[in-house]
Amino acid sequence: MILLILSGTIFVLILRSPAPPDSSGPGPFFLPFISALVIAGLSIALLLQSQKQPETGAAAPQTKRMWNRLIWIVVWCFAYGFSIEKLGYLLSTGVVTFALLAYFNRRKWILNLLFSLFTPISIYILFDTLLKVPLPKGWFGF
Amino acid sequence: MEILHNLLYGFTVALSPANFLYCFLGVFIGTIVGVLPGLGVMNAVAILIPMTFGMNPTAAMIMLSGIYYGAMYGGSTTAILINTPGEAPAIMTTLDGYQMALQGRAGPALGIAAFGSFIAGTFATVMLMVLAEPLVKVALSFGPTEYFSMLILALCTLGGLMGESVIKGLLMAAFGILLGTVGIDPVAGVDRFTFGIPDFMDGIGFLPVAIGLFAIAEVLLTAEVEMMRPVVEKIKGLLPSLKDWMESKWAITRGTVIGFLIGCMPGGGATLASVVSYLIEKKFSKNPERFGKGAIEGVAGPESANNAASGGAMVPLLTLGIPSTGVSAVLLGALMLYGLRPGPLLFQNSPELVWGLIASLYIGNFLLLLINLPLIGIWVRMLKVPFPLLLPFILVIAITGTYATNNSVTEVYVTLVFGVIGYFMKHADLPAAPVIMGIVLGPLLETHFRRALIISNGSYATFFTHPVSAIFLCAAVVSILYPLIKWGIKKKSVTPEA
Repeated sequence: MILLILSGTIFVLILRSPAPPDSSGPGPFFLPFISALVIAGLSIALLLQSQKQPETGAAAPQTKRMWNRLIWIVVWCFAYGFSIEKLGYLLSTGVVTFALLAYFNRRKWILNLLFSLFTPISIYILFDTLLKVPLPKGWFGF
Repeated sequence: MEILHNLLYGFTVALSPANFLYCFLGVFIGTIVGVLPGLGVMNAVAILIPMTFGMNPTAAMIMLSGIYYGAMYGGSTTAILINTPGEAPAIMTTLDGYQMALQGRAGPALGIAAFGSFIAGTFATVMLMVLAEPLVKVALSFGPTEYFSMLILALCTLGGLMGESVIKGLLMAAFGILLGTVGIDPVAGVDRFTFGIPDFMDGIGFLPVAIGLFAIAEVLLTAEVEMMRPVVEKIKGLLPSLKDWMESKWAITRGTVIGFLIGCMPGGGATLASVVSYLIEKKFSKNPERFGKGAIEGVAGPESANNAASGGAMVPLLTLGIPSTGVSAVLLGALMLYGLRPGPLLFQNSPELVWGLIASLYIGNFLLLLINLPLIGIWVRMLKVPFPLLLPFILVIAITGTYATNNSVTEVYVTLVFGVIGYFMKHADLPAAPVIMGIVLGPLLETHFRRALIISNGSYATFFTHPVSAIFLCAAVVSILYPLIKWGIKKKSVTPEA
C-alpha cells in the first residue's frame, strides 16, 4: 500500500515537473514514469495476492519492550547524525556508544565506559590517522 | 599462453606487500564476518567500502573480494559449532555439520568444510580465468541496444529470483531504479525529485542506501531478540581421515561444478548453490537416511558449492559488468565509486585490477586454508562476544562510513531512513538486494536506452531487430513468466486429483 502511494506521488510529481526543452525521444521523466507504473502494477498484484493468501512475512515486534529497544536505537542514531559535526566525532561517538550500551548491556558500567572510550578512539585512528579520511572536530576542536 | 602471461602479471600485482596485506586483511575480516551470526557479508562489504577510499582501486577490490569469499569460509564454523549459519549459504551445513559436532566430530567437519572450500574456490578461479577472455570478446561487440536488453534481463532475473516472491523481487528492483533516477538528469540537465536538497543533485548514493538497508536494518532486526549461543567447544582432530576423504570426494567435485555454474547465473548465488548441492548429494547417496544425522557429504558438498558460487559470481561481474548476486551488486557499485567502468573494457583499461584480483583469489583461498583451521580457537572465542557489545560498534562504524564517504550529514540521515525502511521490508519479506541492483544498474539502463534510441533515430524497433537484443528481451519475458507457467502446471496437475 505504501509503495502504491509512492507511485501515485511520483505520477503527481512528474505531471507537475516542467517539460524539458527538447521533447523528442524519451525525456528525463520517462524512466521514473515507467518505474512508478511498474511499482503501481506490482503493488496492486501484491495486494490482491495478500488477500488470497495468508501473510508469510515474519511478525512485526509485538511487545512494548521490543518497540522500546528499536526506538532507543533509532533515536540515538538520529541524535548521532545531528551531533556528529557539532560535538565532534570523538565526543558524539562516545556518548552514543555509551547510551546504547547503557540500555543493551545493563549494570556493567565499567565495561560500558571502557568500551565507549575504546570505540571512538579506535575508529578515529582507523579512519582519520591510518586511512586519512577526515572526521569532524566539532565545537571543542576534537 | 596469453592467460598464463596475464596471470603471472596478476601475481606480481597481488603479491606486492601492500596488496598481499589487503588480501590477508580481507579474508581475515571476511572470516570474522562469516563467523559472527547476524553481521552478514553484504553489510560488511557495504560498511567497509568507505574505508577503501584512501587505497588504490586494485587494493580495495582485492580486500572487498577477500571479505566476500572469506565470509563463505567463516560461515561454516558457526553452522557446525552453534547450529546457526554465520552466512545464509551455510544454512545446509547446519543440518549435518552440527550433528557431527554433537557426535564429537566437529574437527573433521570443520576440516572437510575448509578443504572443500579451498578446492572449490581454486576451481572457480581457474574457470573465471578460462571463461573471461572469450566472454569479454563477445561483450565488446555489444552496442547500447544489446547492453540495454542485457540489463533488462539481469534486472528481471535477479529481481525475480532474489526472495521468495517474483512480484516482491521485481517490485523492489523497480523501487531501486526509481531511486536511481533522483538527481540531475545527465542528458537534459533537468532536476528530478531533489526537493531542493543540494546533496541530492548528484543522486542518492548507493552506499548510504546499501548500509541502511543491510547493516542498520539487520542490527534493528537482531536487537529485537536476545541471542543465546550454546557453543560446542571441544574440537580435536581437524584433519579429515582417509575414510572422510573417500566419502567426500564426489560431494566436493559435484558441489564445486554445481556451485560454479549457479554462481555464474544471475540470481543464482551461494545459498541456492548449497541447497542444490545438498539435495543432489542426498539423491546420489546410497544411504540417504544418514543425511541430517551427521553425514560428512552433507557438509562437503554445500560448503564446496557456496565457495565455487562466490567465485562464479565474479565471471559476469568482471566480464559483463552484471552482478549475479547481492554482494556482487555492492562490489559493482564500489567499482563505480572508484571511477571505474565495470564490463569488458575493464580488462583493456585496468588489467592491473582484473588480473591482480584474479591472482589474489588464488592467494586468498590459500590464506583462508592457513588461517581458518589453526585459528579455530580464536573463532570459537569470538562467538562468545555478547551481541550488546557488538551492536553499538556496528552502528557507529556503519554511520561513520556513511559520513566519511562525502562528509555529508544528509547521507547519514538517508542511511538511517533506509535502515528503518529496510527493517520493515524484512518484516514484509521484501528483499533488499534488488533495490541495490536497481540503484546501481538503473542509471546504466537509462543511458544505454537513450543512446540506443539516438542511434536508431528514435525507433523502438531497434531492440527487437538486433538479434542478440531480441534474445535477451525474450529471455527476460520468459524469466518473469516462468513462475506463472510453473504455477499453472502445478495447478493443472493438482486439479484432476482433487
